[in-house]
Amino acid sequence: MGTAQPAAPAGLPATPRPGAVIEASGLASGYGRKIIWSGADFSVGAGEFLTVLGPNGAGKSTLLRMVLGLLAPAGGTLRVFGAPPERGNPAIGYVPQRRALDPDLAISAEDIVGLGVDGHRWGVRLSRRAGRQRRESVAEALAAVGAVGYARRAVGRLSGGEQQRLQLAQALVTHPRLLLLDEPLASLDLRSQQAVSQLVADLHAEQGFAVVLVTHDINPVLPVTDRVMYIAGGSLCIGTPDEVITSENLSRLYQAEVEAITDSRGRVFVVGLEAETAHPHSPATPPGAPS
Amino acid sequence: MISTGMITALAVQVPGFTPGPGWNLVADVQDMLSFTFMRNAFAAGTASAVVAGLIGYFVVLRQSSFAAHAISHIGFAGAAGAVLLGFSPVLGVAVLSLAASGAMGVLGQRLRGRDVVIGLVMAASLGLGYLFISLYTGNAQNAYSILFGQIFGITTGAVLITIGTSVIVLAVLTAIFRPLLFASLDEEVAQARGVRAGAIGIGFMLLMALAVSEAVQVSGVLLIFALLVAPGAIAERIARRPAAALAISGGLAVLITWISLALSYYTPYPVSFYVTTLAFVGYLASRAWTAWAGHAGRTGRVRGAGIATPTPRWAPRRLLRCACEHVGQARLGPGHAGARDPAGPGAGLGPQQPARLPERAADPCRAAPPGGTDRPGHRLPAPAGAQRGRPGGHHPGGQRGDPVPAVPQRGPPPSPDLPRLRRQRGGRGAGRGAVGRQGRRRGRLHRRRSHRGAVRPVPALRHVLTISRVMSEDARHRATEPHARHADHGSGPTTP
Repeated sequence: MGTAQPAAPAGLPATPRPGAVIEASGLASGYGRKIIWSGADFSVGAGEFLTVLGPNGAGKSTLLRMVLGLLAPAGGTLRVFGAPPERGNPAIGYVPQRRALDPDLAISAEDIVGLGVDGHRWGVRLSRRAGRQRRESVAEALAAVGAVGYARRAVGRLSGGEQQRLQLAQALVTHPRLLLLDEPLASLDLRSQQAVSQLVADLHAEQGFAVVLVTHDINPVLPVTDRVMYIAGGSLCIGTPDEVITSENLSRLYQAEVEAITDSRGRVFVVGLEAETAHPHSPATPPGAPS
Repeated sequence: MISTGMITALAVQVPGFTPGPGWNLVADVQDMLSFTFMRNAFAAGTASAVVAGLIGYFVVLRQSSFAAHAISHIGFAGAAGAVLLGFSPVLGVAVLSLAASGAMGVLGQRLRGRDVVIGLVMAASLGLGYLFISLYTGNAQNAYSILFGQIFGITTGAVLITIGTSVIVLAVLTAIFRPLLFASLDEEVAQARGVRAGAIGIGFMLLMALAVSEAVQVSGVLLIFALLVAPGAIAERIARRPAAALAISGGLAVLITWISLALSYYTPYPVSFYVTTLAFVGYLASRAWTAWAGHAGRTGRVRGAGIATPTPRWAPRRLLRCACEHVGQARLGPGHAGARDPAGPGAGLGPQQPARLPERAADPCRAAPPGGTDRPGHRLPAPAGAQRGRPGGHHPGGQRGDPVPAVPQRGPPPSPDLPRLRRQRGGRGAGRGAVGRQGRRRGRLHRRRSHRGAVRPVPALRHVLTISRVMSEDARHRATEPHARHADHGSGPTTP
């Protein structure tokens, strides 16, 4: 089934490059005693593009929180850049799931991005040199994501796609070696989805950082993703898109009849899972379908 | 408590006391501040207003204004209990609101969206406070003043405590300013960047409790929303930079307090009424301002997208331009719209161009501006006579990091066939340099276009100062040389 889709474009290696960014062995995730998934052995290489897929509540975001050091692993070991994860690591850029900003918020886009530079420091900024450096790195990050045109505008009035770019700039302002993106395409219109995923792909190619991107819908990032991690039913499975998104694999993960369909343009649809588990009589809805 | 009745009594007793304001501002202020209770009220009111304004901005950013309101109500129970036990009511407010805000801070995220719980605790503590007051056999005026403010009755000792508390709050706020701002705007990213958002949140709630206990003296428990939230809400709407927002918020709170104290001194109505009314009027004005400036923002957005003809705000040229464009468009035909687009890739993602992935340099969101300005005619370069922007139509007003070099935003001289705005100095009317409609309008226009809707208080201040200077010079001129008026009204300039 999945073999009909096109492979990753030439030049993007399907195997991890040397020097692992994230290494996990026997990793388990959960809050308190509740285990969401367990037994994960994988590593993410430097400069690799990994897409994390799975249904709601499967534990995709908790994986990111563990890498950020905001949540301790429920079991197993996790190493980030060869060390246990700790919060506040400037080598990691993080773009959380977008929340709606107050439309009245008049703070300029520049200042939002600038928080990524020195927002975690105590006190107020006093030295002129620090202010200049901050302005320079903010301008650089804004230029990298193509947000220069609205750098001075009120952030509350920007569109969802524009706000998403600002978050990306805020994450990139420290020149991270690993970029974590949590549902960057959710609640965006189709055009902004394409623009944002293209932007992430371009930046990944230019700056060479590793990307871990969590999404519901793989299709916008299918051409650029090196490997795919699918989390469902308490376990996970990692490999190239062709290897992972197959009917057999997904049926095993979900422990239910699931079909992965590839259409004539290479887009992947996963059919049957939520419809079968939740409402046996309702028509199947493709959760992987573009909205 | 010194009520307005006492002020009228004082007016009878003290020689030189004028019950109404004269028109000499300095003398009025001196007159007002000659009373110790007014000096105390101004000192305590200023100290608590600064803190309320600064904390209020973060209250609005963190969307915890309901929590602030609830804390003040819980503080009321503390005040009533303190009165019952014979302590200072403000001490009671401080103790109980600190406890309540500490509990709220610890609960933190779990309390978000739990309006019902907060509301019930608030109502229960109001009821408890009412019980304490009915148990208290002394003067019920005390309770009344907690509910609605008692700033004229403040003692000198309480003033010192208020100022000291303000200094502590300001010091802590300065220390946690950046992480607090980060956590207020984007808690998740702040945590990922190493900010202890939970601890910062608890610290902020404690600061808020102190600010509430101070502001209760001015506006009372029931009306605290006005002083604590309104300046912050106004600042959130109009200030682009966090520092400017804090300055606006604190400054507005102080201004509201001062004006209210002065008005209440000269009129028989209470301070908190003026505080709430001024705060409300200020908020309405800020909404009107942002609605008006929002139009300018959208215009800027269209121009930022590289559209060749920036739309000026004033009508005659705009109408003329539109007319020219539509004529030009009709002549060129619709097929030319995309091809003649000088704005570079992305700006003209019209229906004529093939569908493609937008490039990064050209933001797709900017390329399709909403609203009525998205007419195809506006993408056309205007005919040579009407074109105001630079040829090529690149981004006006160089941004930092912009590949396009910064060009001063000054259009070429207007065409001779268009009406020209007169300079402000030579305005019409008897006193030359009077600021009539035209003068003010021009000032507004000028400010707005050069800063694209951003708030710049200094030029506005300079504008006002210039006006006053011109007017006073003019008055002096007329006073010293009576015949000069003749010359002004005469047919031409006369040599002295």
